[in-house]
Amino acid sequence: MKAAMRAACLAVISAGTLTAQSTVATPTRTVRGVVHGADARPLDAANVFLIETLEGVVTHEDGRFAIPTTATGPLTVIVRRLGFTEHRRLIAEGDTSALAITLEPSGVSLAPVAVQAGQYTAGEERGATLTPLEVVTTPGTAADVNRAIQSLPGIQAGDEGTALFVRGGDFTETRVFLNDAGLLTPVQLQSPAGTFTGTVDPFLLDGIFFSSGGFGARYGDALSGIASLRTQGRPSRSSATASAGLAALSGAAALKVSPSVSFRFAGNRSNLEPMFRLNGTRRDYNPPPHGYDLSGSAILNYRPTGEIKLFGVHQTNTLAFGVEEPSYGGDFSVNMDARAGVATWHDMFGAVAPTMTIAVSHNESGSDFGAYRLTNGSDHAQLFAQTEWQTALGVTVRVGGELDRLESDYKGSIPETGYDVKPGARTTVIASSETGNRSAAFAEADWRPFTQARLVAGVRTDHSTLTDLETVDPRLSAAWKTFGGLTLTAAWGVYHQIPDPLYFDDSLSAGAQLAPMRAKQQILGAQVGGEAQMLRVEAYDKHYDDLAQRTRDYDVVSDGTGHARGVDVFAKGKAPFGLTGRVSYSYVSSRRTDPDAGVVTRAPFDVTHTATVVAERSLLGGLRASLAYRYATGRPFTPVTGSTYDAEQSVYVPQYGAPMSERLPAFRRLDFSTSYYRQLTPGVQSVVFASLMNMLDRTNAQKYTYNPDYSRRSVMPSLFERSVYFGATITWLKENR
Amino acid sequence: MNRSSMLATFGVIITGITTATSARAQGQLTGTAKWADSASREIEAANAVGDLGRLTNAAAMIDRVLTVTPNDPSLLYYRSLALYRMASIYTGQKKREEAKRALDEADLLLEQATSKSPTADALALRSGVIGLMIGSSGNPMSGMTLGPKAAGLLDRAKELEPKNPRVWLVSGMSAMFTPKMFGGGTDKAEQDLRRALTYFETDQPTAPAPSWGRADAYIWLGQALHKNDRIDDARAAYEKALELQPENGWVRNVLLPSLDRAKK
Repeated sequence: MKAAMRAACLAVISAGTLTAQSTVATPTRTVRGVVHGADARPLDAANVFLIETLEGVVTHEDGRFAIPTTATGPLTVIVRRLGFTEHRRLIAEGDTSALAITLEPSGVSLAPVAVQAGQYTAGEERGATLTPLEVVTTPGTAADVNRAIQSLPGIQAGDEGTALFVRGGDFTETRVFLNDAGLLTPVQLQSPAGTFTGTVDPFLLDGIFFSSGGFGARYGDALSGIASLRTQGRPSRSSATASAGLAALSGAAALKVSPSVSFRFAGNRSNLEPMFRLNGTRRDYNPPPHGYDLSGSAILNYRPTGEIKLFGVHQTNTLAFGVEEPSYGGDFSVNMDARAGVATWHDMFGAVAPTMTIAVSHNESGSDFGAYRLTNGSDHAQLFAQTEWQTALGVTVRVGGELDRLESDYKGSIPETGYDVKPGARTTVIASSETGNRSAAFAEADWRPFTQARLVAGVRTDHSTLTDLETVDPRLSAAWKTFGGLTLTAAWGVYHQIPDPLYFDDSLSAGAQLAPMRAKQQILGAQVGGEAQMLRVEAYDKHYDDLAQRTRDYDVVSDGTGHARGVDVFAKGKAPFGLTGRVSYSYVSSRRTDPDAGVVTRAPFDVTHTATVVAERSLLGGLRASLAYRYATGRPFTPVTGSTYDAEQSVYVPQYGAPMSERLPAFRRLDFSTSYYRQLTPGVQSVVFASLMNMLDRTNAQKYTYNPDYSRRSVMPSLFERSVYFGATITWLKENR
Repeated sequence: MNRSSMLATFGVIITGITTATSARAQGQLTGTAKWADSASREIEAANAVGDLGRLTNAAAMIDRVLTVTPNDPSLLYYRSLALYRMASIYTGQKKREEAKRALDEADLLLEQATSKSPTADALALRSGVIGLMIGSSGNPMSGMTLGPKAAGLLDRAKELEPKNPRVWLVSGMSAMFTPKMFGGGTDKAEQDLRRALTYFETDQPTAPAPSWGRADAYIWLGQALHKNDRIDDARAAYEKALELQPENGWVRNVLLPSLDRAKK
C-alpha cells in the first residue's frame, strides 16, 4: 500500500501539477481541523497536507486548516512546522470530524535521524557528538585522539594509557581505521593496560567516528569497538602553522597549488624530558619518552565529487623507565617505528558512489626487560572497496569487500614463567613468522522509510588463512525519532575477530586450536536533543565465545567465554554561569574466563564505574578555559597470597589467591587547560595555551608490585604527578583572491 | 511488491516518460524541475515585496514535494532559499527564535544538498545562511566558530565557479559585516559586489538553475556606498534595483528615504 501511495505521489510530481492547483475535479470531501502547540495555543505557519495527493494548506493565526480533495479511501495527514516534530494522522474514508492536532516542540523539526546505537562522531558534520575543537581542548588528553575518545561513554580507562577498552572488552578488540585502512593494534605482552604512545595527532584529522558497539557490516575483525579517523582534505587556502610547547615542537603546512591540487605536510618532535625536569616525575626514565612523526598528503579533486588522497606517515617512539619486579629491577625499554601509506579514491556518478582504499604499513617494535627481549616486525597490506547506491525508494545500498595480508615476525626470548624475569632466567625462544590472509565481503541496506526513522540491515563474511574458518555476521540497527525529539535506538549483531598472529606460534599455543573469537551484541538506547544539548542512555549486553587469551606465563589458551553488561550515559549542554560541558558515565559488569585459573570471573578490565566531567567556559576576548575530572573504579587483579623459594632458580615462586578477587585503588584525576586565541592580522592567528594536569597531585596506581619474597606490596604509580604544560601556536593563512 | 504497487509504479514510469517526452518536444520543464522553477519565481516575487506569508507558502509547497523526492538538489536549494529569505525578514522583525529555526533548517538542507554533489550556488547560499546565523545569534563569540566555516564554504564556491555572480554577491554581503582588519569592510564589499554585477551581465542559467540576486547586488552595493558617504552613487544603485524590482518596498520605503535623510 505504501509503495502504491509513494508511486502515486511520484506520478503527481512527474506530471508537474498538484491537484489543488489543477482545480478541474470537484472536491468530494474536505479534511479540516486545527493545529496547536503543547500549550494549547493555535499555531500559524504549519504546513498541513495529504501525503497521497500532496494537496495542502498553511495555517494562519487561528491554527485552522481545510483541505478540499477528490481523493477517496483512507488518507494520511502530515503536519510540519519549524521548531516542532512532524505529526502524522491516518483518517478513515468516512471520517468527517474536525482534527485536533498537537505538535511537540523539537530542535530542528525535519532533521533526518542521524543517531545510531553505540555511535559517536567528532567533526563538523551535523549530529556530531564532539567538535574537533572539543577534542583537542579536552583537558588532560594532551591533544591525543585516543584520550579524547576515552572521554566518551562506554570506555573503561582506569589509568593514563591511551588504549580503548570498550564496554568490558580488551583494547585489542577495538580496531582503529585511518581513511578506511585498519591500523594494527598488536597485543602488548608486558603492558596489558595498553600503550602510552603511537596514536594519531588530532591536528591531522577532520573527522572521528567512534562506535562502542552495534557497528555495521562494513567493519570486520573487531569484537568491541571501532574508531574511524579521517585525515584532512583539501585546504580552502594555503597556510602554515608553527607550534612550540614544553614537550613538543611541530610545524604544518597546507599548500593549495590550484583549485584541484593541494598538499599537506606536518612534522612533530616530542620529548618529555623538559616537562619532567620542570615538574618532576615519580619514575626514573632513561631516556624519557621521545619520538617524532612526519606526515604528508596529496589531494587531487579532479571534479566536484571526485577526490584522490594519498596519505603517508612515519612515527617513532622510544622510552625506558625503571621497573621493580620481585625477581628483578631494571629499565623496561620500548621502541616503536611505524610507517603507513594510504591511498583513497571516492567519487559519485549519479546515484552511485564508489570508494576504494589501498594501504600498506610496516611496523617494528622492540621491548627489553631482563630476560624478556622481543622484537616484532609486521607488514600489512590492505585493499578495501565499497560502492554505495542511493535507490529511488529511499534505500541506500552498500556492497563491498576487503583483502588483508598481515605478515608478522616475532623474534627473541620470553621468560618461561611470569615470576622469574631476571637476566639468565629460563626462557622460551620465539622465532615466529606467521602470515594471515583475510578476505571479506559485506552488503548493507540503509533504509529511511520516512524522515524520522532509519533501519540498517547488513551481513558480512570473513575468512582467514590463520584459522581456515569462514564466519558469517548478520547485523541490524534501527533508530526512530519519536515525539518530543526523543530518538530510540536498537542494534543487534554478531562479530568475529582473528586472534593476534603471535598466538598462533606453536611455542606459545602448545597446539591449542584457535578459532575466530566471537561476540554477540545487543544494544537498546534513547537520546533526546542534538549536538548542542543532548542526553543519551544506552544499555548493552555482549556475549563472548572462543576467546584466545594468554596466561601470566605467556602461554596461549583457547575457548574462553565471557559476557559484559552495562549502561552508558552521555549528557552535553549548557550549565549555569555560561559554562558548557559534558558528562559521561559508564557502568559495566564484565566477566570472562580467567586464563590462569580456567574459571569465569571478573575480567581484568571490569571497571565498574567510569565517569568523566568536562566543563568549558569561553571568556571575553578569545580566552577559553576547561576543567575535566575523571573517576574510575580500580581494575581487578589476582593477589599474591604467599610464596615458596626455588633454590635452583634462586627465585621466590608466588602463590596466587582467588582470581581477580581484589581491585586497585580507584583512579581520580582533575585537569585544567586554558587557551587564548588572537587574530593578529587578517592572515595571522595565534593561540597560547597552558594546562595543569593532575591538579590534585593524586598518586594513581598503575599496578601493585611486590618485594622479592612477596611479603610486601606497593603501588606502582602512574605517569603524571601534578604537571604544568604550556606552549603557543601561530598560523599564517594566505588570503584567497 | 504486490500487484497494486506494481501497477502504480508502472503508471509512474509511463506518466514520467510520456510527460517528459512531450514536454521535451515543447522545450518545457517537467517533474521536480518544474516545481523548482515555479518555486524560484514565487520566492523572488514574495521577497521583493517582503511578503512573509507568500514565502511561507512557497517553502511549504516545496516541502510537500520533498516528502516524495527527499534528495532532489534543486528542491533542497529552493526550500533553503525560501527559509533564508524568511529568516532575513524575521531578523528585521527581531524575531530571533523564528529566524534561528529557519536558518537551522536551511543549513541542514544545504548540508544535505552539498554533501554528495556540491554546487557553487548551494555552497554560497550555505555560507550566507551561516553568515546570517552569526548576525542574528546575538552572540559575538559565534563568529569565532561559524566565521571560518562560512569563509571555507565561500572559498570552495569560488573555486568551483569563479564567475558565479551569486557567489560574489554573498562574498560582498559577508564583507559588509566583517571588520576591515579581518579582511572585510565596505571597500572590499563594493569590490565584490561590482564583480558580481559584472558576472550578472553574462549570467544566463538554464531553469531551474538559480538566477536570482541581481537586484540584491544593487541593493547591497547601495548600502556599501551609503556607508562610504557616496550618497549619489548609492541612489543610482538603488534606482537600478528598482528597475529590476519596481515593487521592492525595502528599497522604496526604507533605503531611499534614508539617503534623503543623510543628505539633509
